Amino acid sequence: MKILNDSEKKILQELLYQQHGVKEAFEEFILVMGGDSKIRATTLETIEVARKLRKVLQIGLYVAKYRRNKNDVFLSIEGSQLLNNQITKNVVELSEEECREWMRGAPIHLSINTDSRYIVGKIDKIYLGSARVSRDGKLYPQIAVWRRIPEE
Amino acid sequence: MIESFMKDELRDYLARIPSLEYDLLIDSWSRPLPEGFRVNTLKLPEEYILERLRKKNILFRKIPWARYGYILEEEFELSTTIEHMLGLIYLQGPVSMASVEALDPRPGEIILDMCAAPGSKSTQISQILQGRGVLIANDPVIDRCKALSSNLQRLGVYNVVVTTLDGRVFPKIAREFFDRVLVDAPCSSLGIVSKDWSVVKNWSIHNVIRLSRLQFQLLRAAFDCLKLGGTLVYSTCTLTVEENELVVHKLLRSRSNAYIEEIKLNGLRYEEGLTEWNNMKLSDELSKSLRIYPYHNNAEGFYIVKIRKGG
Repeated sequence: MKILNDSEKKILQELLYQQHGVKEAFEEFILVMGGDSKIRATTLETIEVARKLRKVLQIGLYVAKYRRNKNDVFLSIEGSQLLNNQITKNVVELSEEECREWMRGAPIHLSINTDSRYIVGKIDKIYLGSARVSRDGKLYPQIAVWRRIPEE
Repeated sequence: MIESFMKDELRDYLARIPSLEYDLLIDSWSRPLPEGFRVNTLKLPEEYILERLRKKNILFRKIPWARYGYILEEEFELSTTIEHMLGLIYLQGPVSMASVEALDPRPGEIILDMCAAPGSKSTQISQILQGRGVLIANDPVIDRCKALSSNLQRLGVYNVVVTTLDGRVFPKIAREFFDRVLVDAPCSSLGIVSKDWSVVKNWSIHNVIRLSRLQFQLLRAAFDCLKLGGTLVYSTCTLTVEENELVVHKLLRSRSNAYIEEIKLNGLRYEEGLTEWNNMKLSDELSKSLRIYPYHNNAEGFYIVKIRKGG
């Protein structure tokens, strides 16, 4: 695990600004990057406590996946919920039924006009993380398998 | 029916516990436990989440002793709801919530949950910390840590470190370091037999004694890594004296600055902890501990004690 320095954090923030209109995303957090390109958010105090301990498995909350080679970033459910109404661009409001489909990880067809590779879903005040926008206009929600609602 | 699974050894043992009403216990073991849940205010306001549940015609009532705790009044498969998957609610037994309420964490504190998986109490502590302070959620079994990590993620906890240490080694690396420690110790689980009848089938006093040794070592380690003036809660979901009062009695004898504190939880029914067992006089202080039988609250059976480390 590696703590992102200021310039690395700025790159991520710039991407999230372009993609979702969020200014200085996760500014109040320390961001840590794992080997799996996952960005985790935590506090300085948490890092300091972790340094004192042994057999640390994990620190903080997974908020985004950042792939440096593709220069793209998408938000986890919790990442989008931490940013919530700071997200002003590429966000789509879903119905209850669409929300269930989203949480099943199933592709959703919505007519959206966007150049972005990712959009964030939301229902009322609840943010649902990112979905990848495919060329055929479908949205592929990036929901981890363990969090998917099972098929009825 | 459940009695047919029971060995005479267990039947005789339970009959010797003075405050226990055997018939009521057998009856409560035969009934399913109520479904409890907590509303996660780390994500959204309590009333907003409750309103979403009401719109789904889910009936529930408040648990008086647990902030944000509710019990279902009618059966409902909460575990497949969007609210569960998004971490707006957490399914947890109603009496299990009492351990953290007794611990009474405060925002800004450094808190160790020594036996944390699968994370019910860790997520409850995090909720009360409100993002301030640090939670160390520890469990030595890596496989169990997967569930712990998933639950901490789902509930949106960012001020957390997950560790996989044997709880007994904490004093070596973090002596007098934590403001509060929760030891929800591995136990013989006689308080949650309704969930799994094999608990009575496999019960043996030999296993209880083995667990009791481990529980004492964990409790002593928890005490030693508390700051002076800090508090810990020791809890189990079992009813045996060897795993409860005797473990605490041993700590009181080995640490002269350990004091039992009173626990006040609104509406929770219980018996006082025992101060005598097998003709042995135990510390009178143990009467401040809570012996919660499954029939008291129509829920899980638990033992809870709160201990302060004096200066």
